[in-house]
Amino acid sequence: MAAPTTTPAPVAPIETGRRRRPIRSRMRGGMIGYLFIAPVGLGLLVLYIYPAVATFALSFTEWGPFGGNTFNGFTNYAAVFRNELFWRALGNTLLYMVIGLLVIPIAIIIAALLNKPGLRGVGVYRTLYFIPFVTLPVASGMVWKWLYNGDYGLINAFLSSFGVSGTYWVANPSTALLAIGIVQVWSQIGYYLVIFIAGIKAIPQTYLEAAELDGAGPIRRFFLVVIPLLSPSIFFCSVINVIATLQIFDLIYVMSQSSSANPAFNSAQSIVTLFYQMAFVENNKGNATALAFLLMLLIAALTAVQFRLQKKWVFYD
Amino acid sequence: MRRRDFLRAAAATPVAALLGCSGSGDDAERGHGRASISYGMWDQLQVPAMQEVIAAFRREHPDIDVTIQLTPFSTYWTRLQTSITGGGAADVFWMNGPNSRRFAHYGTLLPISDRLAADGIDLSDHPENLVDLYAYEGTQFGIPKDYDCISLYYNTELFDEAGVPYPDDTWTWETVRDACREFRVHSRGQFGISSALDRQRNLYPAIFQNDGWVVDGRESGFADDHTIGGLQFWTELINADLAPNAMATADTTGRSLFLGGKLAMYYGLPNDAVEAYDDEAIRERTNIAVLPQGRSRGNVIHGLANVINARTAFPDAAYEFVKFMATREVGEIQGASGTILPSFAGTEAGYLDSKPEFNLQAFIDQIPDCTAYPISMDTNTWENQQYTILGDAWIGDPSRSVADASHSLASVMNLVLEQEP
Repeated sequence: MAAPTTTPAPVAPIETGRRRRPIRSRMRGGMIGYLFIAPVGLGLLVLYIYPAVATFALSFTEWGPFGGNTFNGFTNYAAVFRNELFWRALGNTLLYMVIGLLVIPIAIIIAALLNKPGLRGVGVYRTLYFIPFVTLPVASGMVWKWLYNGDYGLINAFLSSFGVSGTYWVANPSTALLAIGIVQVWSQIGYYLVIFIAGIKAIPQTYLEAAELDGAGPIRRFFLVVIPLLSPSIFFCSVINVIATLQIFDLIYVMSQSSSANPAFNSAQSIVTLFYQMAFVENNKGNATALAFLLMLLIAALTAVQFRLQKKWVFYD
Repeated sequence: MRRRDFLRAAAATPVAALLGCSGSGDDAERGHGRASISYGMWDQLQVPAMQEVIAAFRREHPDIDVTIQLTPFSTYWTRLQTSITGGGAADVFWMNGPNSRRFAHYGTLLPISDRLAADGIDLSDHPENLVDLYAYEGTQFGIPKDYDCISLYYNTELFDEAGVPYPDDTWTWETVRDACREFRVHSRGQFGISSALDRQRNLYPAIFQNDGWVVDGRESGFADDHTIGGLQFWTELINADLAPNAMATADTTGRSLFLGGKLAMYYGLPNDAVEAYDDEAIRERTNIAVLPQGRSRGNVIHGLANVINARTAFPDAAYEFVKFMATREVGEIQGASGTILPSFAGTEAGYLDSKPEFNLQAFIDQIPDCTAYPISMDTNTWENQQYTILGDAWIGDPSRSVADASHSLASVMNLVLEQEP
């Protein structure tokens, strides 16, 4: 009696123990993992995923000014496509994107110069370049608006000392977009600079020495060794930059839309400022949500294209 | 503070439900002791006067608490709209012309015609076209609180320097054009007048002075030759380099240019006088005259009104407050503060006395010339298009015709008007 009871007893715990322990620990490990990402996941769900899905759903409805939505199919999308301002804003946004991409070559050149061996005060330069990036866009927009002022601006005062008479930079329809685009580039340089400095530092010196031994000058070394090895960083930066400039809003709003009537209003308008106008000024939230969803599609498409193209020019070690 | 409001609102909800059923609103409210209402407004400058008004109201109605809810103008309408949708908007709040019809149409404002009739109040002490601005389909939704029209601010220093006599009621558009030639000094960037793209200050008065119109039912007036003629008054000055173009006034507003001494004249609102008056140097060289006349004397009148939230828990208390604010006493308090021109006839004295050096009487003298501020249901939508479309004709290039810009504005505006509910 003692034997049958004792024999199965030790067996059972061992068997179940063997089976259970890994499962339980796997579960517990998984649970802990989920627990750790829960705050971020919840935040994403509440702040990003839910609004995105809700926007998509609402873009098929007609919004009453005080609530009460009715399904209206693709009417909002049709209205956006018919709206001349949409095509103008789309063109402008793509122009902002092209101007914005200039930040990459500029940042690479500055990064290469800052990486010169023996350069003193690198930290100071890096800080100086980084300050515009941490400044609020609204604040830097305000300051630049004054710099660009046609009557009292510093830029025109500077130009007039060379006998050149400047224009009303952010109010002239032919210069407004460029003027705002330049501020966008200026404000972003610091961020990309830090990435490129790190990227260049990571390039093994042996490659550069080998190229030098083969007789390559500094310029050839830069284009044939540094740039290809930097291409993963360049790819990352271009993806980030395209997304950021397609969503450009605050600088445009502060510099050309916040105060009195600006004749360059439509020439500087981006998709997001048009969204703002539609949703909050004209109170046409149905069209605005459709516009927001179209912008999301555009960003997704351009990002997908970049990922496709990277196989052609990005080198991973 | 916020928590308290919430608790009050929560406590008030069952009362409101009760009121809805019983119908004897006043008694139920009184029975519960006190009513607590909030008052939504956007102008920081007017808070002291409003606190005085509330104190005076409390003396008559000790059982009604009123708290001010201040929201900056830039976010006022967005916030109001969402809080009305979600509940929790102020019980009584400021309304302006462009928004009044939309709010009334969607049933967010409490109609007060019947209550006014029962109390024998006919609002005849307030400018008639202003009272009409807050009536929709024969029902009154708001009681005017203040008003503004446009007057000509001028810089006496520049007038003396150029040897031009000060403007008076004999001035016409022609006089303005001639004077502007005298004032133009290229080296100083000095002009005769601001022709900024500013609908209330510049566009509407000029349109009405040329017998033009802006909106009538579902039709835009911007295709009318009279309207275009009014706009031309400004673009001709710009094209002749006698007034700063819209690029200049986008960088620095016409008002700032005038205050900075770069402009001899400027079309301004009553509350523009506050800033001009506060700076002693500007005060000494500034005065005010009636607008010069075009084909006719014309002007635009606009004013704010106090309206009641249709979903207020205390409709009777809110009405008492709004009614009180339409009295002579409140007009006098507001006028004495010197921040706005009260709409109650005969209470302007306080406002006039607040800045004795300025001829503020000009604003009052022009009331008979005024046309009400043009509105429709979706005013904001077409108003928003005005500047962007007309801007093309405002940049000082004579080849860009104001008639073309005005016609394309008219067609865009007609589309908006057609789709209005």
